[in-house]
Amino acid sequence: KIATIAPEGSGWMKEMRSAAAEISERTDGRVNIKLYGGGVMGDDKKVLRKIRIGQLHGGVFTPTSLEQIYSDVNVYGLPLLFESVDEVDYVRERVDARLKAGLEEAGFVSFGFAGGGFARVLSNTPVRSVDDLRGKKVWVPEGDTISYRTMAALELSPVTLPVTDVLTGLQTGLVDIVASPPVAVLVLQWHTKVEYLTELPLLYTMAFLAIDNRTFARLQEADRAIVTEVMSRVYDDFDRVNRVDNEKALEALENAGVTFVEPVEGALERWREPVMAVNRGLADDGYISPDLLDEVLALLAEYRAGASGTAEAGSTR
Amino acid sequence: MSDAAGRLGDRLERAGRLLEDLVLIVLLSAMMLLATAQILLRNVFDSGFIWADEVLKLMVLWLALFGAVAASRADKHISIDVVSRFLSPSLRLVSQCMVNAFTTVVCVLLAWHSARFVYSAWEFGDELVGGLPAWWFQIVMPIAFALIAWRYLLFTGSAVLRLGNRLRHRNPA
Amino acid sequence: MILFGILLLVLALLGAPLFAVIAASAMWGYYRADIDLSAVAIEFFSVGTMPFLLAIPLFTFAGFVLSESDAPKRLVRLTRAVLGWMPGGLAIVSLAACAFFTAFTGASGVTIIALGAILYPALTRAGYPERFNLGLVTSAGSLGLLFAPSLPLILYGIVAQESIDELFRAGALPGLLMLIMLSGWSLWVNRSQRQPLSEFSWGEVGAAVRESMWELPLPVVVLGGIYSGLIGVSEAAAVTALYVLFIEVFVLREIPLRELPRIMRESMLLVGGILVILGVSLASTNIMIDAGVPQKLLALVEQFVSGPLTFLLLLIVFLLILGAILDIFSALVLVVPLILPVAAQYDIHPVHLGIIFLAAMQLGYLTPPVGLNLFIASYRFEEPIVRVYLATLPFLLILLISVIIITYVPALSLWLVPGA
Ligand code: NA
Ligand code: NA
Repeated sequence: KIATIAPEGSGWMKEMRSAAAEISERTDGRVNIKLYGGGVMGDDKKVLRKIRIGQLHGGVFTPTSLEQIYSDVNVYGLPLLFESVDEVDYVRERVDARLKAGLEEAGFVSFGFAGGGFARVLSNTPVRSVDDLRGKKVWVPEGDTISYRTMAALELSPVTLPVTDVLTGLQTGLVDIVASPPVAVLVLQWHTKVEYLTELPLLYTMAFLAIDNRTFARLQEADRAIVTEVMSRVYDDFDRVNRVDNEKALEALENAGVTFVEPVEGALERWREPVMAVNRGLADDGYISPDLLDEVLALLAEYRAGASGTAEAGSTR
Repeated sequence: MSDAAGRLGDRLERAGRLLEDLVLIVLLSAMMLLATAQILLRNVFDSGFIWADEVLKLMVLWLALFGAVAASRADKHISIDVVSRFLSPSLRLVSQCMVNAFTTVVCVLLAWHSARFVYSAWEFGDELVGGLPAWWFQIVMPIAFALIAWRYLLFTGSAVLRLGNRLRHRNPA
Repeated sequence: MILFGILLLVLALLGAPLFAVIAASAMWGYYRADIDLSAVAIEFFSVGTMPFLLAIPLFTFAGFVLSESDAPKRLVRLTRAVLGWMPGGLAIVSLAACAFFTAFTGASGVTIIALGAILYPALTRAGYPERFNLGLVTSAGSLGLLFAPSLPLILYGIVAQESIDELFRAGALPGLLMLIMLSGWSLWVNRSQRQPLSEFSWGEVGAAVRESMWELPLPVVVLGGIYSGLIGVSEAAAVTALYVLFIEVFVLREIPLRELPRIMRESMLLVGGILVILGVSLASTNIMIDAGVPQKLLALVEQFVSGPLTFLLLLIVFLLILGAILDIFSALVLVVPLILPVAAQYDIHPVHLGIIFLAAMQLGYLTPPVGLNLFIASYRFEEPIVRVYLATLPFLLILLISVIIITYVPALSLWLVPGA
């Protein structure tokens, strides 16, 4: 029994259902996966509690919801860490395995991470520099430690409201600025209430399936192999398909009349300095293992040194 | 029951009610103030408490449970009472015994399983409101259900006593 | 299992608290599904994490304060001065006010507690028949779900991936239809109750407005606050509660300060009563979701579909059953994705489907035996539940007719939607 907030009827859900069917067939019905879509089992915290008592056996999570279980998994989601998807690829190729092993130690089997693209800044007045953010009401999701710290470092004041208030909030001016990956923006229809999108890879988002170790260990070894094979394939697919979907979502936003703006010269650097200090602070406080952050930064430096000749080729999409 | 014990019971009863009222009033007032303070802070001072939303929602849980405890004191829970007025006084007492005993058992179960829920949150070190232990906020569940169970146990006892009296008067041995 | 169900039913009818009955059925369900019973506690804890519930204690308190003040009397005087020439004037004002209020709060019984508490005494004072008032206030509590910016409309837009703006437009006429049909009924019932046109006087209107000068700005303050971006929809309740408290206690001084603790206690008693029921219902809903009951029910209904007309008919039946057992938000995320493809087969426009869905679901609040609004009304107005059932019945029938019209006349929903 696996819960997710992906809506019933979405492409994602269909894929998961066919994967479940394949697993059931290949294990001769010994492994039957029941999916609960649309968030009907509750938010991530509730799903985790239900996994603990055995009502559910797994869930699809975003890194922030596993903060208390294995917070290192948030490392890719640190703000302004990456500049392009190529950088993400380079780092993920080398670090994913460590995160997977960490999750397993924390009690969850996972079959790979499905990237959700970069969150972008969406606003009603163009945002090209930090100064454009001053005095604006920036919405941040509830309970998101990284966002809070970042906002504090940039000396901005966040508006915390339920997600359901954001759409009307954008219309009435209660909220001026939101940050979210393009696909989510389309689903929540926020694009109908904003004018501008800043072309800035704010932070990398992803989602992943995590199955309770206790349940997984109860399966026969052959069955475990089948589940791992099918689910890893599906998550590889998601990772790839999501990238295309994100491209399409960005196009859709542009077609819907959202104006894309670039940060002004040097704005990125001015942002990065305090934000990287926040990232370092998170490591000092044990939120992210310091050696993990160092490893990722070293990989990035390595990549940037190697790719400096072709730096212009990097795409932020 | 001796007079002294009865007086003590009365005093406890009054203290309990006072405490209930106090909790309800403080929670409701705090809720109104915190919610409006958020609006003021945002619009006037460009700031706000990051955790206000989460705290407000948890206050709803507390209000709900203490409200339910207070409602139990007067047996004022929402119910579909359609049959009892067609019953004879004795049958009505029998029905009251059953209904109250049933409610007591249900609330004991709710209290027990809430306690297990809170225990597991404590065991796993769950956090809420940016790092505070979750069980601080959840502990109200087993407490409230236990108080409601206690209340209905008293109702059951009194119904049984009244039923006993009634039967004794009808068939004097 | 059937035996246990009957036992619970008997206990419920004998007057066992509803929350205990529902909790027992939930725990029984988890037990039979071999799920750890602390799942009940996990579900109940959601009362402390769901974002819309904050409005319930705040609006309830505001409603109690208003109903204990002289506000109902002033409301009667004002409507009589302005609309006295019209039979059923106050009834129609009440319906419109409830619809409006529900559009903002999202219909979870808050309307009955907050507004009903003022309107019920006002209607009685104005001489309307008691039973009519009870039915009106109870059924008006779910009116307005189809008007912007109601949360269920927004949620349908997100679940079905339809434009929320289009849904807002689509809901306007069907919502109005329900309002007009109920108003028509109110006119008919109270056709003899009117004052002669000649009695209209600007002087009386002026006096009545002056008397209500403190309460009248409330909607302006709240709506103005929302539309100017000063407050969020979810914060309207806090502003209302504080405003009402300030006016009635400190400005008009109709409620002495020492009475405040009692009013707080009484209103929170009701809040506790409603929210424990909600909390344990979350658990019983969760069992049905866990066991896939809605999907099974849909599969059952699907067998009887032979064409678009029978589909629509069975859809209404299905939604009425669903509305009686599930809350509107769970029903939306669970069932809408399942019926969308079926509806598409019969060329039913997804926006139209959304309007049908919400219109039918809103009746679920009123359908015996388990409509939440019925219980809340029974409790709040201290009337036996059977009396509430009977009083609500004519209103329920009229709303049912309007749902049928909305279902079979798609133009009503789609007329204001460009390109549909
Ligand atoms: Na609501
Ligand atoms: Na609900």
